[in-house]
Amino acid sequence: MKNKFEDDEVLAQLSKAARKTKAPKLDESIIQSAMLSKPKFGPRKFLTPALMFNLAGGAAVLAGVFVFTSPFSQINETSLSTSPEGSSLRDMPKMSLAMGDKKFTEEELLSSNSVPLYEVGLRAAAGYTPSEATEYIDETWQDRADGQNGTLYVYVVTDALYSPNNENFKSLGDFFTDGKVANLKSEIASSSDAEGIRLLVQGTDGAMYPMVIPVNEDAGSLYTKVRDQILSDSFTLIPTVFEQ
Amino acid sequence: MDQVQFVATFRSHLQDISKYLTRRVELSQVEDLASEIFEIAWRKRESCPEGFELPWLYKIAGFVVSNHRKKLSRRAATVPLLDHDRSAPSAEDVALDGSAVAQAFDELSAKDRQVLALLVFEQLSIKEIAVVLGTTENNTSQRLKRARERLAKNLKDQLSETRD
Repeated sequence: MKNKFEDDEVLAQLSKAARKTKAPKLDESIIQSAMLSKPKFGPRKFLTPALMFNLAGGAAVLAGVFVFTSPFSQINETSLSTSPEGSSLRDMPKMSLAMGDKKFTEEELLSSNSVPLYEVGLRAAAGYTPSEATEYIDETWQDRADGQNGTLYVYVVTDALYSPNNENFKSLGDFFTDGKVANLKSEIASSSDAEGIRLLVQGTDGAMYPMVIPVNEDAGSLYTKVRDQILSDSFTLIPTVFEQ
Repeated sequence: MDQVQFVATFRSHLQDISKYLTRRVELSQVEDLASEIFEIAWRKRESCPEGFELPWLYKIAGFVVSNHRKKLSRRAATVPLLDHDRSAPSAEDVALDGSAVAQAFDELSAKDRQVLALLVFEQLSIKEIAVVLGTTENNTSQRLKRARERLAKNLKDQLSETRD
């Protein structure tokens, strides 16, 4: 065991609890014969019916991602031109975007110079697990979340309240019906723990890009607009591009 | 990487792979699956990150074990469909001793067991685990931290149940 978990008592107990593994001794001939073996599959046939179906589905999803709805229409190109520091968000060092934990200020978002929001967020890495509803958000940044399934994911940055989207073109409102809305309201409208609204948006490459809209209760703020739109169930897909 | 280099590089990892597999599959399958892992490694050798040969092999091994379990589950139809990570070992697989910590480990999700197993049983560093999981060190560290917390909580519950 290495790194910061080296002296961890619980993990040490786990390590001690393991009986010695009696693994069979493998011979070097395994490697030798592996190098001589022929691949068990042939080259992939291009544009098979199944692949065409997937491509069509993927294209449909991506088309859906770019549907723009009105709530951000007040935010125009002029207001998005440059950041106060004069650098565009696109130029921000990628390394600073630590797995889903980078929080952008509203000013940074608004200075994104018409960069698609999915580029503002961080490309997710690894495999998303929609079945584990209690997982924290960082663990959901994994993978492209089964690219063909779903356009976006919506998170509230509190205690794992989120709704994975497993269907194409699912409306945001569908996430927040009945009991979900009550929970959502209590979390993002009144919870002092709320850090913002976290969105995971699918980009043109099929990868998911998380972003956080931090809490800003000022009238007309990006946060209140997105929150209101979610609560009022009045847009169908998250806008991914600021447009004039 | 030519054949000589390949053998020289991976020869020392044969037993690590054997142990990895022994913790996850039936003994009778270890050799076959090891062959499969090295076949894939040979075909994809150009993508092996230098200095991370073993974690890279574990990554391949994870897929091979997952596929193996999928095949078994098709036959037995007993593995839950949503078990996303079929390569994670159970307490039984890793031959834990039946203690409270073993039970606590078994109650974890497959994902938690996977990441903890790579740290505790495979003895990988966080950086190496990140290579296996195809994610970043930061994400791996977070996953480990949470998995460790859940293990500690399960253990606490186990111990309090025992006392009651």
